[in-house]
Amino acid sequence: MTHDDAPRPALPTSTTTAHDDAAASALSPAHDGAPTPALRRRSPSWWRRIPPTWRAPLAIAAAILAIAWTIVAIFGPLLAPHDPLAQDLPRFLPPGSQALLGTDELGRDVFSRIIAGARVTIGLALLLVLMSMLIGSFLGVIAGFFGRWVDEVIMRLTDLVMAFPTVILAMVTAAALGASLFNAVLAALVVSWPAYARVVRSLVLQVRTSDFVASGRLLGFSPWRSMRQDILPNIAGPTLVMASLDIGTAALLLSGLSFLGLGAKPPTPEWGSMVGSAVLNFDKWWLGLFPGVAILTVVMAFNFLGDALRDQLDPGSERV
Amino acid sequence: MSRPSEPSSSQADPNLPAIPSDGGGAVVGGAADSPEGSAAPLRRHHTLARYVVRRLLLAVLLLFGLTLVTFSLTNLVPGDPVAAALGQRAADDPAITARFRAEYGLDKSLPQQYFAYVGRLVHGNLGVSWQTHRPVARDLAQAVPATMEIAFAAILCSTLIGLALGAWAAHRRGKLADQALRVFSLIGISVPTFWTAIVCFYLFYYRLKWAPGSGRLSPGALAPPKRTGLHTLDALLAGDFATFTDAAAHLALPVMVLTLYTVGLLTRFSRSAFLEVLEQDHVRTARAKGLPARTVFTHYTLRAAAIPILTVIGLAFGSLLSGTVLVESIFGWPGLGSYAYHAASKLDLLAVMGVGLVVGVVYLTINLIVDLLYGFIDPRVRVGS
Repeated sequence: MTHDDAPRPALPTSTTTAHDDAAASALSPAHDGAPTPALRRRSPSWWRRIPPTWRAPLAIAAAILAIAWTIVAIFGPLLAPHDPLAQDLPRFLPPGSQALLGTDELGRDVFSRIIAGARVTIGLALLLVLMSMLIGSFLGVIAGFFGRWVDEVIMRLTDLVMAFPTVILAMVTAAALGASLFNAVLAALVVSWPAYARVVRSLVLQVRTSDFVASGRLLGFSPWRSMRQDILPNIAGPTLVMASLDIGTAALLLSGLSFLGLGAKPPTPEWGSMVGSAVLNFDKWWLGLFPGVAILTVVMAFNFLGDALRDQLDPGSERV
Repeated sequence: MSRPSEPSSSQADPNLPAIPSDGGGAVVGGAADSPEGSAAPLRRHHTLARYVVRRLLLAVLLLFGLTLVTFSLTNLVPGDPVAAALGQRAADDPAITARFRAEYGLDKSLPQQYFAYVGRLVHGNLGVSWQTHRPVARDLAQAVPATMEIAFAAILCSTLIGLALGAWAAHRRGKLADQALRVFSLIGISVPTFWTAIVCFYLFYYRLKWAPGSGRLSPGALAPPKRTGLHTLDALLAGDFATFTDAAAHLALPVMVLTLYTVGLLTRFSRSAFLEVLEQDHVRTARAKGLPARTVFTHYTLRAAAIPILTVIGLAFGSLLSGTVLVESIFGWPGLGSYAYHAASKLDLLAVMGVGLVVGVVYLTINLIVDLLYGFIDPRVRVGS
């Protein structure tokens, strides 16, 4: 704590905002004995059971946003007023009563396309994060556990991938594989596994020297059993946190590839490629604005959630 | 997709060092894993030179790796290169196929092909673009200065703004300004750049007419005599202020968009770098003995925070280069980004590989410079453990 915020008196106020709670819990137990609780309005018990970081207004907003988008992704077809592929409306209709967010160059309803696109973007981002976590963790565990040349080879491989800026390498790979959504995910996978491999490797290096791992090995555990039974449970938590932090970035990368024309093929409603097609008609502002807002809100929701998650699990990173 | 998380205080965050060198070792002491590190107390004055040499060797190795990546990607293409280059009818004729394969060395083994590929690269031969029907190398030579002009301007802007905001947030930690900046930088890393570019172009050019149109100069304006390839700098060198203002006005919007993209990252990182330093004893001592806040900041805080911040600038440069690919085409900026955009959308593989190689080399060079600067700034790095 710097002396900047140390002398803040824990003034008992009737409104218990999340920040007060956070401050209060940070200052406890010294201030807990004070007779403040009597003056506080009691918040419901379920509310107090939520950790302070999740009671911050931003975390709540992000959670609502993320849940809303997830619902849209799951129930998309039921919510869309039009068929996202039907070209039955007038072209370039500005937002209005006939089409809520206007229509595109083929007379398709932008609103319905955005709703249909939620499934594509969020689904693929989750798939990408899952796959890169699995592959990266696998290689990271092997590198950390076996060390020596295995470690050397895998780590130099991560160096190599990281020697390229991410979007560039993903673009190059996607172009080599050919344009399709699946290939875009593969290309994104190529650039995103090394981060996991490195983190997992360093986690394994920390765990590997513990006594319980050594005793397991002395009991005659095979390397695989030791990894599965002793090491994996101890690194799973941080790895999952890292993965959840990554969802927003994954969505951003995938929509960027689609924007470049390396992801979704034309009729597929995908936000990045919708923005991409707006480049040709940039005076029709609604074509690019709304799909972009969709990307922004999804990425933002996941980034804010990830941030809150990190605060909760690793308060040290904030407190320094 | 390494969105680098905020570096934690205690240990070097393994997620952070996307420095393409030896990762976490770079900051903490790159010499630690080299066998000669401990045996050199007598020749300590040579250590800087050796550090430089080691970094250079690493860079060469990575450069080699880059070519390996692009080569294998080029060979990954599903489908018949003969059919792709000459058409299906030619591919059905065994004589033509054999001649084509012999001419382009496709009949040799893969290692042989690779060395031939590197040999061509060394001679600056990156192949011919299917789309422009011109050598990729010549296209790139025209595009690189345009991109560098944007990239340098944007990295300058975002570093200055990011450092200032980061220092402010660290200074007002936990207060409203800090909270607001945290939200701001989180939004900053969430915004799709290509979208910001379209929105800004629509708003400032089409609607408000503040910004001049696309391209590097107004239509009909003559480019200044070429020295550096950066129009603003060339115009200044030629003393041509009209051209300078024109070029600078065209530069403003793309640079603004890219700055918005990287400034969030830089703010976040410099904040935590400053926070870490502010906690250190020597900074507290400096404050305790009554030095003015500004002196403490410039002489103590800024200096100690220089290394992590340098790292981030290197990182930010990478995301900036990624950003140009997504942004330039929208502003009609004739740089690497536009070239890559058009090549990618037409699946012009050699051109895309060329961009990948050039950007890879640029990024490598920047990070090499960053690594070398560590050695100069922080004696611990070059001396090792």
